[in-house]
This record gives sequence, C-alpha cells and structure tokens, in this order.
Amino acid sequence: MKKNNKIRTVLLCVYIFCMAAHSHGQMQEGKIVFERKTNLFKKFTEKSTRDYIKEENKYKTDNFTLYFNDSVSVFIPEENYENNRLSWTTNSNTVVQDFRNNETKTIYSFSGAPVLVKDSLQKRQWKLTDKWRTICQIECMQAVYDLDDSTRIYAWFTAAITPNVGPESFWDLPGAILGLATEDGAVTYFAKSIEERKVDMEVVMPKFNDKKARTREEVIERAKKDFKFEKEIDSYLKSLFMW
Amino acid sequence: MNSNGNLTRNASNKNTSESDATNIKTKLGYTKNFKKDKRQLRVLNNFVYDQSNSESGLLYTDYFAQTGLTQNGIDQQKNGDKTILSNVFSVAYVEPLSKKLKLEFSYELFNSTNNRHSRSYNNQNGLYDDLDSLTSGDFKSIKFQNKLGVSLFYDFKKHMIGLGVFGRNVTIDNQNHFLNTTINQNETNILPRLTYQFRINQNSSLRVNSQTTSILPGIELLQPIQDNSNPNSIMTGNQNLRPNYAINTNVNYNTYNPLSGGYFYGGFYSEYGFNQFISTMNYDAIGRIENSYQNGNTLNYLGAYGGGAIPLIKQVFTLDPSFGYSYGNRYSFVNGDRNALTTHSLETGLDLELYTDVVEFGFGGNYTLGQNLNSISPELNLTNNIYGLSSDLRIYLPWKMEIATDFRYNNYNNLSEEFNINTFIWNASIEQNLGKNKNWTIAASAYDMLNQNTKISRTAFANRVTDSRTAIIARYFMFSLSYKFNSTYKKTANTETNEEEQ
Repeated sequence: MKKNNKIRTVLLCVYIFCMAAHSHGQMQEGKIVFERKTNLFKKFTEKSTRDYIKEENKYKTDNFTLYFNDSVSVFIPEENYENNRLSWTTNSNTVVQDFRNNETKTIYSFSGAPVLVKDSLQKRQWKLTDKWRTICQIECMQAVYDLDDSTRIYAWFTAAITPNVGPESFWDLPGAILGLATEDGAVTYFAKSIEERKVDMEVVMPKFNDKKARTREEVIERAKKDFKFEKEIDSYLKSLFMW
Repeated sequence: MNSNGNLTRNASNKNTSESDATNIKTKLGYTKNFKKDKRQLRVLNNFVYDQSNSESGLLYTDYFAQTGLTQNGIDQQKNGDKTILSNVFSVAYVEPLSKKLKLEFSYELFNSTNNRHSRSYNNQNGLYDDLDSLTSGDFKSIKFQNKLGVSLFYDFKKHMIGLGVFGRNVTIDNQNHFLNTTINQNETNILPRLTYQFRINQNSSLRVNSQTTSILPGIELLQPIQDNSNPNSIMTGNQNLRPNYAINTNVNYNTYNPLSGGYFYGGFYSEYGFNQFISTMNYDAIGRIENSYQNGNTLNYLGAYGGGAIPLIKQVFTLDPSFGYSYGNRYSFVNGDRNALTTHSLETGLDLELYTDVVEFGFGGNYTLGQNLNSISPELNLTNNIYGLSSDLRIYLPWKMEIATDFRYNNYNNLSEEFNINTFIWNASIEQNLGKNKNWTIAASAYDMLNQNTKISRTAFANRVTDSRTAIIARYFMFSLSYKFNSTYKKTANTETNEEEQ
C-alpha cells in the first residue's frame, strides 16, 4: 500500500512537472460549462414518487457555468425550463470561491428557497489514484474523497488548467476539476465545453447579501432545530451540503 | 293574508308520490403517448342512461275566508316516465411543433334523446279517467352537438400561454307528440379559451384561466305542459328556450416558503352569462303563480378569496387566516317588472395549527355573513350569520397506532325562529396501520356522537326566502379495513431500531 502511494505521488509530480514545463500553454482564466446528470430513480426510491416522475424522465440534466481566474471562481446554474413539473427534484446552487481570502459564499436552493451561507473554503482529504479519463479531449487524473462510510465522490482534474477550481464547492486538487461523480452514479458533473477567455468577475458575480448570510454549521443546526419533526431532514441536509 | 293580517285564502295541497329510477353510467378512455416527446392522443366516451317512473296523487282546494266558499278543487292521479339517453365522445390530439410550442386539436360529439310522458287524470264520479290535457304531454327532445377546437400552447422560460377557440354547433328537435308540433333550434357559437401561467419560482405561481361553457336546457324547461304538483305555483315549459353560454374567468396566486412553512394563496373569479335561463312569474288575482323561463344576459357571480399560514414557530405552529367573499346576481320578471336578486356572502376564519411528529392539533373560529337583497320586495332583504368553532386532534402512538377526534360547533342567527339553533358535531376514531409501508389500515370510527347532525340553509328566490332544515345521516359507527396502493410511508433508521428493540 505504501509502495502504491509512493508510485502515485511520483506520477503526480511528473505530471505536474510536465504541465509546468509547458506553462505557457496552461489556462489561467476562462469559462467551463458543466452538465449535471441526476438519476432521479436512485435519488427517490419511493414507488409513488417514481410513478410521478415516470421512466422517461428518469435522468434530469442541469447545466452550470464556472467562471474562473487564479484567485476567484463563480459557479452559476443556468435556468432549466425544460421540465418544470420536476424542478423540485434537484437543487441548483450558486457558489463563489475566493481563494486568496479563504472564503466561500454560497446560495443554496433549499426546496426552492435561497439560503445564504458564508464560510471558509471547504477542505477535503483527497486520495489520488492511478486512473485517468478523457474529458473534453483533456486527460484527467482521478482523485477520491470519502465523505463518510457510505458516500464516496470521484473527481477528475487536469493541471492543464492551473487554478484549482471545480464545480460546486469542490477545489483543492492540483488543477481544475472537470468531472465529479458519486460512487453509485446517481449524480455526475462533466465539463461540456472549456473556453479560455478574460472574465470580468464584476459582471458575472451574483448579488449576495452578507448581512443575511450564516456559516454552514449555523444553517445546518438551525435547519435541524426547525425541522426536528421531519424524519428525512438529516439525509436531505447531507444531500444538500455534500456539494 | 291581506295587508291588515287577516286571512283571505287558505290553500290546502296534499301530494303523494311513488317513483323508481334506474341510472347507468359508463366511461371509457384511452391515452396514447407517442415516441416523440409530448405528442399525445386522448379518447374518451361517456354514456348515461337514466330512466324513471312515477305515480302521484294531488288533492287541492282553496278556502276563501270572505265568502266561506271552497273552490278550485283539484283531485288528480298522475303517472309519468322519463328516459334520457346521452353519449359524449371526445378526442384530443397534441402535436409538439417545437420545444416551446404545441398544438392541440379536439373534437367532441354530444348526442342525447330525452323522452317524457306525463298523464294527469281528473276524478270523475270516483274514477280517474278524465284526461287533463293542460298537465299531460308527450315530449321528445333530440340534441346533437358538434364541438371542434384548436389550441396553441407556448411555453417559454417562466411563462406558459394557451390560446384556444372552439366552434360549436347544436341542433335541437323538440317534438310535442300530443299536439304534433316540432320546434327546431340550430345554434352556432364561437367559444374562446385562454390560459396563462407565470412560474415565478419553484414555490410561487400565478394562474389565469378564462373559458366558455354552455348548458342545454333540460326537458322540464322545454316541454310546453304545466306542472301543477303545486297548484299555487304552476310551471310551464318554453320550447323556444335557447342553450346558454357563460364566460368564466379565474385568477389564482400562491406562494410557499419551505424554510418557515408559511404560505399564502389568493384569487378571484367571475362569470358572465349569455342566454341564461331567466325566470318569469305572473301572479293571478288570488296570488297563484305561473312560472316559465326565457333567455337573458347577466353577470352571474364574482368573488375573491385568500388565506395562508403565518409561522409562529417555524414548521411547528402556525396561525392560519382565511377569507372569502362572493357576490351573486340573478334577475327575473314578476308581472312584467324586472326583479334583481343579489346575494352577498362573507366568510372569515382564523385557525391555530400545531404539527409535531407525535401530535397534530388545530383549533379555530369562523364567521359567515349572508345578505339577500330583492329589488321588488324590500321585506325580503334579509341578513343572517353563523358563528363557528372547530378543533381536531390526532395522536401518533407507538406500534403504528393513531387516535383522532374532532368537533365542529355552529351557532345560527337571524334565520326563522325555529332555525336559530346550535349544533355540536363530534367525531372520533382509532386506527391501526399494518404492513411494511402502512398500506393496511383497520379503523373503528364514531361520527356525530351527540346525534346533532343537521343541515340548515337559506335560499333566496324572486318572491320568497326559504329556510330549510334537512335531516341527514346522524350518529353512526363504522368499522373499516382499507388498503393504500401508493403509500408514501418510508421506514427510517429510528423506526427500524424501535422495531428491533420490540
């Protein structure tokens, strides 16, 4: 096991060195469009809910845009009007990450109601693997994050895009994350298009009321108190804040 | 009574009747969803067969106090039968033109045959064999209606607009076999429809609907014979009565805050009618009425409503106000004079609701005010009100058992003397849920344990206001076993742990 970890570390260093050697070709700023696919039948297991959703609507697709430079990233959902009947089945969050000030601002969609969270950047313990995947014609390395005993998230990142950005609140890998997936495949994020361009952050930055914002812990604690009689509240909060 | 309160005429009316009826309804439907998204075909057929026979007797006299004479005697035996056969066949086809645009074609064919035979025989020397031609008849009404429509729906971002138009042609043959006469009616209308929805966000929306409906007059309004079951108010049909149509509009807004559990809903509605069936009444010298119907245009009703929940403790304890106001308008003709009859009704309520995982409890009060205004008879301008209190309690016990109880108290005021009563309706039940998903429920229930259930109502007519008290099912007990095909109950870790400990 220790030997495998050493090999992975060496490979990563070689990979990063090679990328650094060609730093004049690496992207520092731009826009990535992500497509999220949610398997609603894995998310909702009650028969009555599945009957309402129907087999033909089993996979729900949402699109997001990530604007980034070397210090800030802004992750914004695109409005999805395709199947309004099922708009409640997924959440679309807006995430701003400020890497210089170690700060993140998120507008979570709590059953459609906006919840403002201001906190420090989420630190995750990633484990690198020796697996690779091509996303948008770019070779990406795989990393794994264990949220808890039952939840594992896979990420694919590339050092060809140097800022360590990613969808939702994910970051902190040696490069931009172009793919994310839960272990059971219920939710996946994959980059659809990558565009290198100057980004005017003031234009794309969403409006955020700092006075109404709370930390993640405060929001979770408050929600558990307000919804103490809702049996599903723990699993709902987990599915909302794991991103 | 005359204006001095002295008796002028005393009418005695004794009716007996026996009847039997058969009703058959069938409904067949088919929906086909095609491979292409949103392309759909829907076919529906409704068939109704109604048949009834009746035998009745009428014994009527007028006693005139001034002269001491008894006159206008009627001693009749009647028999009649009525048969209605009607069928509605409809088909709708939806074709998506693009992601945002879809077209819907619809066609409806309605046909019905109404037969009504009525025979009234006067008592002649102890035998009921003298046919009364005024109150006897053989009437047949055959109706065909074709309705063809097309609607366009445009779904763009947060907005959905639907515009539709229907062309309707109805032909009616009213055959009077007694007099060997036939009156044909042929009417063509354009019936527009508008739908608009604004999906403000996931939890708020605004809806606007406007559509046109049409009712064909029933055989009782058409057949030109007299119904003298109440000789003080004789009804005669009008063969020339045309189908009516009405434009119905309603607007609704609702919003919900999932964080606090608060919500609000409100809206208003109205209906304007063309060719409505307007009552005409003519009084004779001794106060008896002859009724008939004719067509006329009128604003039928309008109203507004609203309500919501104000969270006092988020997701647990709410204050729920509600209100409703309606305005009703009818007019009639009394001895040739137009008589406007308007009603105002205001309902307000305030409830407290508590939701926990063990107990659900509600308590509230409501107030209803009703006012009737009559333009010709100001003595019929009457106002009444009802005060009410209600409460309900449900307790979730271990082992999937539930007990529940509720009551409703009403205090009626300003009705006729014997109708100003209080009622207290109290119900209770105990339920045992069984099965993995609580699909099965065994329940023992008691309804109206204090045996006070009754229905009090006030109805305003052009020439009178009637308070009525209807005996309805009171105090009964029920044992039930039910099965839910789609249970939303989901076991949680806590539930599983509890069951293991048991």
